[in-house]
Amino acid sequence: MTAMLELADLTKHYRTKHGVVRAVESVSLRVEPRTTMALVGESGCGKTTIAKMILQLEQPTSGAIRFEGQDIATMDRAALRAYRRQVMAVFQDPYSSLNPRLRVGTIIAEPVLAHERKSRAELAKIVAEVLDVVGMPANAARLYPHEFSGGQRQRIAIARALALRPRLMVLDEPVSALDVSIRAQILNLLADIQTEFGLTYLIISHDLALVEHFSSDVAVVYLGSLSEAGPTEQVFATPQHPYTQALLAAVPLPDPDHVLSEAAAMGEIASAMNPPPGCRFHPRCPHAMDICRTTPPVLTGAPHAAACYLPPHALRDAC
Amino acid sequence: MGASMWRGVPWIPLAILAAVGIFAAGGEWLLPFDPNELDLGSAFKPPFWLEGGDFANPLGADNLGRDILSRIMAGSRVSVIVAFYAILFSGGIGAIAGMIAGYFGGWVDTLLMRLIEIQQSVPAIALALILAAALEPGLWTVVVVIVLTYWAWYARIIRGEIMALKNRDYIAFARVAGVGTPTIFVRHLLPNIFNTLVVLATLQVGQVILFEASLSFLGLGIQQPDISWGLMLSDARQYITNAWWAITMPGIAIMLTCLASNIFGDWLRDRLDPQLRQL
Repeated sequence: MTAMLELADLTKHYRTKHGVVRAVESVSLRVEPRTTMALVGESGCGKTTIAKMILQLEQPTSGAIRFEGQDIATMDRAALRAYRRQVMAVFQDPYSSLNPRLRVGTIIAEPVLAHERKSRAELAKIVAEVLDVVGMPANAARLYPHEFSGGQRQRIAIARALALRPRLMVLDEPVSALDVSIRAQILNLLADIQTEFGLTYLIISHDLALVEHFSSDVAVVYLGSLSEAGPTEQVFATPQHPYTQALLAAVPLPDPDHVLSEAAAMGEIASAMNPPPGCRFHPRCPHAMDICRTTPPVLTGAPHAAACYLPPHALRDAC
Repeated sequence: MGASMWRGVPWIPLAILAAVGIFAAGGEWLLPFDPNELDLGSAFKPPFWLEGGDFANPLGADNLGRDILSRIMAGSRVSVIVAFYAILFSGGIGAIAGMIAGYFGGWVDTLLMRLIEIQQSVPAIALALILAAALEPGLWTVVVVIVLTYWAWYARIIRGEIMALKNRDYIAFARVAGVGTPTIFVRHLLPNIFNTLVVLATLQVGQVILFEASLSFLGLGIQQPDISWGLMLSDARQYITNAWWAITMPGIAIMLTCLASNIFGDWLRDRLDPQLRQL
């Protein structure tokens, strides 16, 4: 089966005055149709850059992004237009993602207007339909974004992304700007929509509890490269990379007697300007060996893969 | 909206600006006298409240006996025409340049910014002198000088606004959804800088009127027999000791108009601030 989305050795380097920033280094990933792939990692690890390249907001330095087997870098204009209407995005901040000067109806109709000629009545019908899907009243179309709360604005942003019935949605921290009480509603809405419209999700998050419940697969990004990837259940039950271990150990538990385990990573994330040689995680890794300091490990194993020299059982014993 | 839109409107400045507009538009039908009619018998007639003055020439007469009130009213037309065209073109050119520089960045931005810096290092009066020598001094020369001086001011401010706007997620979404760049400019950028443009234009009115007056005073602007406030000052300058009203009255007209447009512009800026409006 062809993957909905496939990243092959995707790399992004930014040239700056101070040197080259290696934001994303050789990331390979498959996202199957109708699944949810979560990219998790610390802030600044490159997960948003990956999303931007998929959304064509940034051009990769090297590597390929394949949508249903076709490399988007080699697409002609027509194919690229078709790609753009099948891939939509929901961003983190619902205050920045809706133009304050436009009515909600115009905002939701924007992707449709970009791709199809529709009469006013047809547009109004489409807008009313998607507003209904996201649980908003049809008269919301006449109002301006500032008349809505953060949660409602995010529903509007989801409606806009849904208007053209895309196949892939990139969700960039879709609930982290919202009140905790609203998050579950929006996540349930996203899950319902996925089933109803057969969507594929790529969600970016730093909230591991969210990822565990929401996504079917997870890829852990550290300093621009993948350290572990696989089905969410397996990764959470038996993390094979010390960094994943550390991330999971750092999740706060509602238990006052719980002591954060020793596996927690030591020190700060290194600079992407001057990443450490070998395994990028080795300076913070409690299990670092000689080989880790010289040769970068390769992501191996399927479906649950990890980029680590330690055999999985050794890691489990060490903890 | 509705009643709240007029909350705290500065009525007096608005009335002054409206009066200037009406004088400029009404022109000949409103004037008590032909502003260029000579009446040497009334030369240096003082305003009505001084000895020797009367209500026939309420603000007095100048060295040639021309009615000062009529001349101030007639002169408002030049101020309004210059202000209208100068603001239209400097604002238009500046906004387009600022939007392009701010949105695309890179070498386009660098090029435009260097151009602005060069422009801003040339004194406006020196530019006026060169242009008055090259072209014919007159109303349109004044407009050209003002446009060349002020477009950079608009461009700089609009560029800054666009640089902040272009990182908004709704622009990113439009690009993701395949919306074309011209549509992004018209749908997302222009409406969001419109308030800024209106406020800049209003604040510029006073400066343009002052600029026109300065150029005409120096003989680089409006020429006789056309009437402008700056030219009136220049004509009356040599009689300042024996007929102070001939130079003071147009001076007060300039001052009141500038003050009114600045106060109105300040109010408009506060009023159109979306942050404040959304309260």
